[in-house]
Amino acid sequence: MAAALLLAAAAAAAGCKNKSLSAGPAYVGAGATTPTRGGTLRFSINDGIKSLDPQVAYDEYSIYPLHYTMDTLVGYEKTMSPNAVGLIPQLATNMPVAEERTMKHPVSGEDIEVWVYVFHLRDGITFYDPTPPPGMAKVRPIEPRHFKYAIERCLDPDTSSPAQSFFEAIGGAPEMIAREGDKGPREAWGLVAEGRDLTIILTKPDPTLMYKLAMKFASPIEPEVVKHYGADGLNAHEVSSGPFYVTSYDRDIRIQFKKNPEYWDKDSIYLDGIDMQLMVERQVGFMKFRARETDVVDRMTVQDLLSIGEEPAWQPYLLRDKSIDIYGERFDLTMKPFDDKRVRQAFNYAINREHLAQLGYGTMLPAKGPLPPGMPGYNPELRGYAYDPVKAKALLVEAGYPDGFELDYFITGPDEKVEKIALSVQADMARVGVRLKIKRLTFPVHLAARMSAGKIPFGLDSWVQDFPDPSNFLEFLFHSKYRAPTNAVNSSQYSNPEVDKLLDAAAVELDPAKRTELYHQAEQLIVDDAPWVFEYHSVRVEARQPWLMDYKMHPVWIRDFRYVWLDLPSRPR
Amino acid sequence: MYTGAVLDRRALRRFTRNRPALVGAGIVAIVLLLAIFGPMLAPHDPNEMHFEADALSALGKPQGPSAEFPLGTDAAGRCVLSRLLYGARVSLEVGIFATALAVGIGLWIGLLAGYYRKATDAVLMRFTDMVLAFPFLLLVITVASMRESSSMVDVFLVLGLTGWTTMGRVIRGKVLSLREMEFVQAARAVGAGNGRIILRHILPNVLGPTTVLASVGIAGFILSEAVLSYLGLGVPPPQASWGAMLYEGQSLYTLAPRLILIPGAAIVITVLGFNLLGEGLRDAFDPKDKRG
Repeated sequence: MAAALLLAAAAAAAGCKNKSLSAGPAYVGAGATTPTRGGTLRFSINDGIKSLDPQVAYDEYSIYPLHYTMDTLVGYEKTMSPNAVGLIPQLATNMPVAEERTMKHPVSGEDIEVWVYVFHLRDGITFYDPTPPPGMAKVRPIEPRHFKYAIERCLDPDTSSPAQSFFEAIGGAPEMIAREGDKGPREAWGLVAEGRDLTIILTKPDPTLMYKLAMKFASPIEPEVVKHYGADGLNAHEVSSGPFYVTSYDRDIRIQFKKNPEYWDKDSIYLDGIDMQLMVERQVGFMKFRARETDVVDRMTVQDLLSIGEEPAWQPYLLRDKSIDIYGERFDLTMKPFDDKRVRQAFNYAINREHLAQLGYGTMLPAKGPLPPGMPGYNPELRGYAYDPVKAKALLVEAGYPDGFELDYFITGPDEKVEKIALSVQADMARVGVRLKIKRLTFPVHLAARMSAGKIPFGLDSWVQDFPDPSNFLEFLFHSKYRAPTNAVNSSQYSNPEVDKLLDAAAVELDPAKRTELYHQAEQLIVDDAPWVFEYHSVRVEARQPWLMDYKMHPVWIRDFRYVWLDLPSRPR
Repeated sequence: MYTGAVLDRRALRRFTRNRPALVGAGIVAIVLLLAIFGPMLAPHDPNEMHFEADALSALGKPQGPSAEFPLGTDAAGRCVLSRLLYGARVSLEVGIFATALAVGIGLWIGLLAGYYRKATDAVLMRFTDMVLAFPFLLLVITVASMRESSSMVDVFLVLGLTGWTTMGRVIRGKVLSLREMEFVQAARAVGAGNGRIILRHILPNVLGPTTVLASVGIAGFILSEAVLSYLGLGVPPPQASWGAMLYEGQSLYTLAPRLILIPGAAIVITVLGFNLLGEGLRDAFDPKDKRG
C-alpha cells in the first residue's frame, strides 16, 4: 500500500516536470532578422580548465578558452560555412603550397631534398594584454618570430608539449627533441623569421602540416611573456591574439572574456563577451539552462536528454551533430581465436548495430568502418558488415567452433550507456553460440590493458580525432609500426603489409585526390580484415536558448562561440 | 524455560496467535512460491532485449506498462515483471545460501567457544571481533576487483563469510549458561563425552535462537545483496536481481521512477516479511511470555 502511494506520488511528480518541459522554451528571442551586436554568451562545463598554456593544453575544455583568445597562421572557416573544416588564412595572408627543392643541410653540408612553405603575415596584427608585465605595452605587434618561438617551444623537451611529435618533419626538429641539458640546439633551422615572412622548411613531406598549424599549439607567443610568467604562470595567464581576451579567471569557478578591441577581424565578432562557468555538475548545468542562466547546454544526463529529446516543442532548439570518433570492440590479434579472420568477421556479422544505436538515446550512429562521416576521406561506398547471424554462425562453424565458445568481454565502467551496449552485444553473440562474460574495469586499468598485447582478447575501444585527417585514424590505429607489447596505439596489434604500403604512400602524397583514394583502399582492406567490430560514431546533442543564433557545433573546436550572436532582449512566449 | 523440543505446542500456539508473525509468514510463503514458480509465470525471457515500439522508443526511452509488458520495460528494453520474478529467486538464493553459511560458521564457533571457555573462547571471540571490525564494503570491493567480475557464488561467499559474527556471539552466550544447567551436569556425571554433550544436549537447545537469527539474517543478506548489486558488485549481467534492477534503474529515476520503485518495494516487502517472521519466532520461543 505504502509502496503504491509512493509510486503514485513519484509518477505525479514526474508528470509535472514533463509538463513544463513539453511546453517548450518559455522565452523566445527579440525577433531580429539580421545579426545584432552585443550581449554576453553564458555556458557551463562540468570540469575545470587544466591549462591556458597554448603549447601544453590539449583537452577539449582547455581548448575552449584558447580558441576564444588565440588565432593561428591558418584557421578553419567560420562554423556556419558549408565547409567548416576547410582551412583559410588567419594571421597569415596566404595559404602556401609546398615548394620542393634541394638545399645544403645547414649542419652537415650535404645536399638534401626539402619542402618549403612561406607564410606572409597580415599587417597590423597585435597581441592584446590589458595587464602587461612591467615595461611592456598593452598592445604589441605580432611578428613572425613569435610563431617560430611557439613551434620551437612545442619541440623543446623542457615544455613537455603533447604536440612535440607533430612538428618533427621541420628541419632541425629531431635534434631539438633529442636535446639533453645543454647538449643540442634550442632553435630549429627549418623555421626562419624574416621581415613579415615565416618560412617553414620540412625535411620530409607532411600533408597534415596545415592542420597542425591550425591547432592552438602553433598560436604565436612572446619569449618575453614566457620568461616573465614561467611555465606555471602561463597556466593561468593569457595574452590575446584572437577575438576575445580574459578579464577574470577564478580557477575551477569561472572564466570571463571580453571582446578584443584591437582584433584584426573585429567586425565579424558580434558578442561583447563570454562567461564560462566551471565545475558545474551535469544535472545542475541542465537546471541552470532551464532557469535561463545559460544560453546553451551539452553533456546532458540520460534522463535530461530523453525528456527534452522527445519534446516536439524543443526540437527546433536541439542541435545534433556528429562527433568525429569511432567506438566499438577491438580484438587482440595475437590471442586465440582472434588470429583467425573468420572468427572476427563472424563477430562483425553477429552484432546488430541498429539495435545498439536504438539504445543510445539518439547519440549513436551505426558505423561501417573506422572513418566517421564528416572526416575528410570518409567513404560512403565502403563495404561494411550487415547484420547476418546465419552467416556469422556459418563462419564460426567453418573456423572450427560449431558449438561456439566462452569469452571474457572487457568493458569500462560504471557507465550506463557502455553497460547497456555490452548487454546487447552479449545477447547478439549468445545467438550464434558465443557466451560472453562481461567484465568491468575502471577506465585507466582498461586503457592500460587494452593497449598491451595478450591481455584483453575482446573489449571496448574508441578513438577520437586529433585533427581532421584520415591518417589520424587509419595510420595510428592500423599501421603495423604502432604495434607494441605495451602502450600500443594500434591496440588490436593488427598488421597487413599491403595496408602499411598504402598508408605509407598516403602519408607523403601531396595530391589530395590520390591521397583520398589510397586511404579508401586501405580502409576497405582494414574493414575486410576485421581487427575491430566498428560499431558506432557518436552524436553530440546540445540544447540552445531560442535567442542564441548562428550556432553550430564545430567538428574540431566542438563549441565554437566566436561568431554567434544573441537575439536579445528575450521575451515571454 | 523449555528443554528438548525446538517448537513445542505452546510455542506454536503463541506463534499462530501473533498476527504480525502470521503476516510475515504469509509474505515469506508468497515470496518463496514466486521464487520457485516465478519463471513459469514470467511473460518473457528476463534477459531478452526488445526493440519494438512498445518496449523502447526510437531514442531508447523505456516504455510504461502495456498488455505485452505489464510493468513496462527497463532501459535495455527488457520486461520488468519477468526480471522481478526471476530476481526473486536470486535474492532468496543469496539470502538462504549466505545464511546457511553464516549459521554453519557462527553456530559452531558459538558452541565451541561457549562450551570450552578459557583459551578456546578467547581465541575464537577475538577472531570474531576481528571479522566484525573489518569494513564489509572494503572487503567486498577488494574481492570484486581481484576477480574482475563477480558471480553469485562470490556474493554469498562474501556475505556468509562476514555475516556470522552476531550468530557466534549470541550462541556463545546461550551455551555459557546452558553448560552449567543440571541436565548437562547430569549427562557429564553419567560419563557422556564432550562431543555427545554438545551434539545431544546443548545443540538442540540453541536451535530456537538460531532459527530466529537465521530468519532475521536472511532479511539482512537480501538487503546486502541489493547494496552490492546497486554498487555494481553483485550478480553478473545480464542476470536479474532486485539490487541489480535498482542499479540499472537509477540513471532514469525522474523519467521512469517505477524502475527503482518496483524492485525497491519488492525488497522492502520481503525484508519486512522475514523480519516479522523472525520476531514472531522469537516471541514464540520466549519462555517468559506467558500468553497462551
